[in-house]
Amino acid sequence: MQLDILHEGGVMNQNQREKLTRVLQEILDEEIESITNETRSIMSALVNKEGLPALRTAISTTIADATAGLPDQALKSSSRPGPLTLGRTAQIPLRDTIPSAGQGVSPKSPTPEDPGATGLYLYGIAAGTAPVHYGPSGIDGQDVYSIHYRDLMAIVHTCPARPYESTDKEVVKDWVMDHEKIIERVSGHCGTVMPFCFDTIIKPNGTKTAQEMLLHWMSEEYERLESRINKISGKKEYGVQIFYSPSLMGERVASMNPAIKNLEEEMKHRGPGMEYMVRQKIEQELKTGMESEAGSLVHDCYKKIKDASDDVKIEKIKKSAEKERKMLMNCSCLVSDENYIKLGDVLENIEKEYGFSVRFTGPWPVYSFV
Amino acid sequence: MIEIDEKNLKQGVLGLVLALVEIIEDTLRIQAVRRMDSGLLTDDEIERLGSALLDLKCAIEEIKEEQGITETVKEIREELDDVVNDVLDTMVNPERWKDHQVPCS
Repeated sequence: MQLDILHEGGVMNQNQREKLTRVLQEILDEEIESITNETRSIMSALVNKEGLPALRTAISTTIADATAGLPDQALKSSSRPGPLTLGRTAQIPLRDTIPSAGQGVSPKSPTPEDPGATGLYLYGIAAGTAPVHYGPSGIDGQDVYSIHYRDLMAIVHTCPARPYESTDKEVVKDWVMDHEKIIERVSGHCGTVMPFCFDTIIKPNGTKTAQEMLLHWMSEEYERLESRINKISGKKEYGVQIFYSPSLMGERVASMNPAIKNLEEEMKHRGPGMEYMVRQKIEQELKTGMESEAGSLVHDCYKKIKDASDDVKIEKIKKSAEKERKMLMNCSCLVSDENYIKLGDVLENIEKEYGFSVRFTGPWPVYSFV
Repeated sequence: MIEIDEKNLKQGVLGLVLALVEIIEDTLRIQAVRRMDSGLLTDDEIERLGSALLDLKCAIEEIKEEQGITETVKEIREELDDVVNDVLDTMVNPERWKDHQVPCS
């Protein structure tokens, strides 16, 4: 509204402006107050009837969407149980509809929808022919064993053919930890394991038991599974996060950009309005400059990290609450033992050369590369 | 039955209004800089445009301060940013599209 007045050629003095601000404030306050009073009963009824359920659905959908792509991270972090990946079941073709009995469990004439049907909880796939039996060490103390197809084996436990679900975060956290422990154990024992996400459950289908479904899937996917396992064999996953200081980068960009210096000169000895406008322009220049600087730095770092790793996967940048420590780059690296030292050196150099701080974590199971 | 705290509601509504006003202010400011860059404005016009925007900014800050909603407005804007970021991130990264597939019923 002040802009309109400006266009009409009128110029307000400080007093008038303050008055206008006060009046506007009062109007806004009164309006909100009276609307609130008039509609309080309607609002509370509406919120209770319509708003809350919709809000709840919206929130859960948003969270599920946001985390759908990140089951790996959920598994990696012991403090984050990742309850939202619950219900993930393996994409194994399910065609038949005839009821089947579960493997190793007394048949209770289950139908495909029968919640009592027996499924297999899949921890991961490893190379090896010697049977594995870890005893009651799986999720909820389930008996963990191996199912073999040629030279591959699936590490499983027998469970009801439905996802593990709980509203208790602690319970889910324990499950994820159990899952993780088994993956670590297989990794220590077989060297390489292709880990599956928490809550991957194979259902029986039609005449086929869950075990038959699993073997069918392993035979169909054998070549792909084998090449993946070869690819990750002898390698581990590490997380690399690079952080920068926005104020340091801002200073550097400003010192390199002559346009910014000129604008700063121009700003001196001007009226407050002009000064404000020029300051805005400087900030825009700085922002663009920092964006392109960050872009080229990410590119440089990525190239260096890529050269020292067997594979690199770029992950989402996470927001940080610290003002002086913003994430520039987040990636997962697949690294062989001989490359491990090299990557460490590269990261150290990045720290020194650019003044970044680098977080190097791991080794993790290779969730990001399977 | 959920109790609705009137003060909370007022804060929320006011916070949202101010967040929107701030976004409008941002847009006005970007437009203003663009006009200045176009070279069509005289120094006097730039000065007046700048001080009007500065006043608007001060008025918004004052209202936020007085109503104690500075933090609320910041949070609302961050949430809005996150929503937009998420949408853009999904749009420009086709490999993430599969994560957002809606199951057919």
